[in-house]
Amino acid sequence: MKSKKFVALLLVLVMALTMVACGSKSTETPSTTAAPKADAPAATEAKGEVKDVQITVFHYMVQTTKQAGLDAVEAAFAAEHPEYNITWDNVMYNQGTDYFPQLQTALASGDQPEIMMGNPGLYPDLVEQGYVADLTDNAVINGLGLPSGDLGDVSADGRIYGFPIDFKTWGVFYNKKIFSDLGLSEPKTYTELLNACQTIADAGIDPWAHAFGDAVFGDIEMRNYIWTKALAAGDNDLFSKLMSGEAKLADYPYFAEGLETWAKRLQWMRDDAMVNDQNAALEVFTSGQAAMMYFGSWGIGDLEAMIAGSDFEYGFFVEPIDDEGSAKLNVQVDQCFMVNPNAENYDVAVQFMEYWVTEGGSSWSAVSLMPLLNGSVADNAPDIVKTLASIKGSGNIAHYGDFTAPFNSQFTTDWRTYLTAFAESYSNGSNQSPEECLKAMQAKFDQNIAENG
Amino acid sequence: MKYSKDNQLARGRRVRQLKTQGTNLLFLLPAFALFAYVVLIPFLQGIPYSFTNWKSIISDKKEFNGLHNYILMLKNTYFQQAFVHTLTFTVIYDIGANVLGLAFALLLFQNSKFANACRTMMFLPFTTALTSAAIVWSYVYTDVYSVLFGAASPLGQSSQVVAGMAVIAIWRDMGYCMLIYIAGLKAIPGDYYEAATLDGANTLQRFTNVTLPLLVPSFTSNVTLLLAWGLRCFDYPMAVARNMEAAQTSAMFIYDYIFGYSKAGLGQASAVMLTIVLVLLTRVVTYFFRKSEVEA
Amino acid sequence: MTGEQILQRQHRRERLADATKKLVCIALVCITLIPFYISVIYSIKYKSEITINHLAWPKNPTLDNYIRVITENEQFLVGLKNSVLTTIPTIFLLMIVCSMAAWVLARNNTRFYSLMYTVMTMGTLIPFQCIMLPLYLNMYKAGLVSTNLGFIIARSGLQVSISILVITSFVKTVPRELEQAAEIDGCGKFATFWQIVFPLLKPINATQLVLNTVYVWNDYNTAVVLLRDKASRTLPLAQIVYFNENTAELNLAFAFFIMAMLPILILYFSLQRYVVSGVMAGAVKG
Repeated sequence: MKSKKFVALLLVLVMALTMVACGSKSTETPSTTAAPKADAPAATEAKGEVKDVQITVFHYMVQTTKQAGLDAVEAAFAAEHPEYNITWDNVMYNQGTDYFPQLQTALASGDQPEIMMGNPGLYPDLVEQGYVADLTDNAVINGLGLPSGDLGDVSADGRIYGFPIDFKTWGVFYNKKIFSDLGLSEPKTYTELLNACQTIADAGIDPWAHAFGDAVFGDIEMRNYIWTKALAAGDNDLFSKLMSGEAKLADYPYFAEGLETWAKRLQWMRDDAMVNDQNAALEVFTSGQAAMMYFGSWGIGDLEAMIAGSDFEYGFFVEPIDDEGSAKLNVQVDQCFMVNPNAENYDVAVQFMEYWVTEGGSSWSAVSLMPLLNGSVADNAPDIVKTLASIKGSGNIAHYGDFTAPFNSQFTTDWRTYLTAFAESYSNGSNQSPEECLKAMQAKFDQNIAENG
Repeated sequence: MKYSKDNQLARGRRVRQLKTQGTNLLFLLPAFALFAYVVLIPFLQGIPYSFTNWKSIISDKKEFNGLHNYILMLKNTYFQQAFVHTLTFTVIYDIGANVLGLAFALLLFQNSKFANACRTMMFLPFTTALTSAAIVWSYVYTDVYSVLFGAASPLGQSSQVVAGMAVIAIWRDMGYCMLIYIAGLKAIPGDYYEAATLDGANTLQRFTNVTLPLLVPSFTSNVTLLLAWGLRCFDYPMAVARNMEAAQTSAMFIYDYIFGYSKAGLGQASAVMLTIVLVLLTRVVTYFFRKSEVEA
Repeated sequence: MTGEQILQRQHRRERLADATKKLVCIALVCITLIPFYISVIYSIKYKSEITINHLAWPKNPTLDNYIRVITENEQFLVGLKNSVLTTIPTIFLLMIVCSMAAWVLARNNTRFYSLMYTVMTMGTLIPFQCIMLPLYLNMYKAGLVSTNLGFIIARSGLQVSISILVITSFVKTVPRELEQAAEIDGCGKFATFWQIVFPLLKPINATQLVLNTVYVWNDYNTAVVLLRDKASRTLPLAQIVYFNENTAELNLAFAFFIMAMLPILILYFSLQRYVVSGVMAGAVKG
């Protein structure tokens, strides 16, 4: 009897001790971190206390220049805020394969990172599940005076969910020397562009370096046409309607027209067009084997690094999508970040992002060389970046953010897959018609929609 | 007296048997525990999800919807196509790697400095990561293959991409097959050959009558293993043919559905179906080999 | 024709056959090594030289890329450390655990053991993508995410199926007589295994050691899920900066690739003697 009682007592004691131990641990954490918002700054100022803060940033900026840019902004912010002792935890994944899967896995297990890179429109689940703070009333974002497109790119269903940092755009990069040798100037109409291709080909040079080994390149070659025409036609809900099945690709004439236009310049494809990735295509372009390359602003840094020390000169023009001069520079917010309201250091994270979109922007662009949304560019940025920024500033652009919703990830993958297949058919001579391409794409879209039920 | 001694003996045997069984289980336990924790339990945990309408894995909302996912996926032609690509890849890869592996094993199984050096070289590809192998080969195809044969890289053509990836896989894994075959060849007792030679068997006859039957366990091991590797093919297309419909494999399909497209229930259902098909397929193949193993 | 002449001719024919065989082998080896040649070429060129001629030996070969990988990629040395610290325990754990299990599975044919064999080897068929999420959640709850221990457990568990498959089929080729003799001599199961069977498994265990090293060392898919903290990441995760959609650092990528392969090569070279040494030499000699 006695011994039984003793054991029971011992058990209780052990349990109590464990609870105390656990309890003290769990009460410790909130006391240092989730201090009441109102009196925290006052208290720290008064006592000169330094608050330990950890900020976890999930991102997919694999390029070293952008990572360095992130480090620079973080350092600048930390310098401005001596009241925080910040530990930065930058978690990086490759976007095409790992980023979203890993972010979701982390969230599913209960992790609460402070900052998550990405466009909220592309990640509606994060918004729905409450992992993304509603920033519609954020004074700093509203004070930036950004055009509707820039805000649209970080919004979903009319609410702002992200901090937009900079933008990207794409078009034709051309070899200045080849153009001048052949007496060519930047084409103003599509016919001029085709004529230029012919002239170049006649001179024994490949007109185009293609990078269809990367999914995005078929996409950007078509976007210029589709976005510009769709926005001009007022079809701002194009992508939402295609995703819900309310509309079909065949309902919009510009899809077939766009493919037809594209097919005309696809007759000049090199053997390596389908396998080259961006890097390999850049090699072809910078070595003078091809005169032009359809390319995006995100790789200007890589291009500059590749030609450093050589006398290679390149120029840029927006693809003239027709002979009526309807072409516009396409713009899409590039780096953009969502903040998690459930995160331990949500307040500091918001402060940091507010800093990044304002004063901190210069630290970012000085290192990353990216053009900021407000049109400002670092002095050390290449001329082309300055040109792009000035065109964006002029407002004569087609902005992805002006669409009500972007394609989600499955539709994006399919869209790109079928465009790449379309390009492939011109490399092997089976020459798909625009209708065939759209039919195959629509069939896949219908499958996606059927699975949503 | 005699009766009870018998009884004692019987009991002793039983105890010994039990003890043997116990030791056997003890031997089995650590491996099984690791396997269960990492593979079996997670796999079983995933099955219930396949009967729900679970969308995003970060959402708590999942309602039971019976066999709906299975029916939808069976009707999904893209899922079927992905399986056909996977199967085609596996067949080319499995046969290619085994034939070449066996050929190299026969060429190189004797112990000599030269054979040793060659073996080492042939095994080198196996030490590379799948992703790296695929990326290096994308350059082999453009820099060597295209230059030599004047043809475009197979990785850029829908009609050839699966074969192109299978070649990469064969290149990488034939050295492994070779090693297993060499180990098998070494295990064949020399007197078997002597006996066959005395019976007047020529080289070819010795190969078909002695070597091949005794290598059956190695065949079983290699063919089924490569079958499994092939059917789970994921890294190669992820690395070099991410956006090519003709290169979509079943594993990629599952990955995209669960993690990329927020259709977790459907993805899990495809995973379960795929696993069932793979198990059946492997059973059929191993059945064939097992039968010859018993005969040998 | 005298007997001597016939003998000589036979000799000559054998030598010729041998030489042909060697030539064939050399040719095959050369073809097999082309991808490595390309990797080496890329890795010792400066970026500016890559564009000129892909396959030519560089005019100024350089080790610059290797140095840059080590010094500039902050994840390289951390990854190297973690890869070593996780690979070594994993391969030895697997060697012991799996050869024990495989022996039992190969030597017992009752329904229970064949079921166990079937279940355990079925693991090779389950795509990692369908166990990824539950596995991660379980390990997260157990506090094993971003730890070396967690990675060792996961990688071992994933290799069990393959190891069992390979070792079991090898055990079946090992004659039973030795074990039976030992058991008649009154050797216990443990003693029989460690003293008789385990040494006999040396060739297959050496092979498995190399095989498992290759898989654990090169693993990307498991590592990317389980190792989130920078301090815990293994070597393959350090390559994200090179192998992605937008990289321009091709020569660094190849230098990385070659350096990541070196440890496995060293292991293979040191084990090669055992890998195919033929512990069964006695049997071969008859």
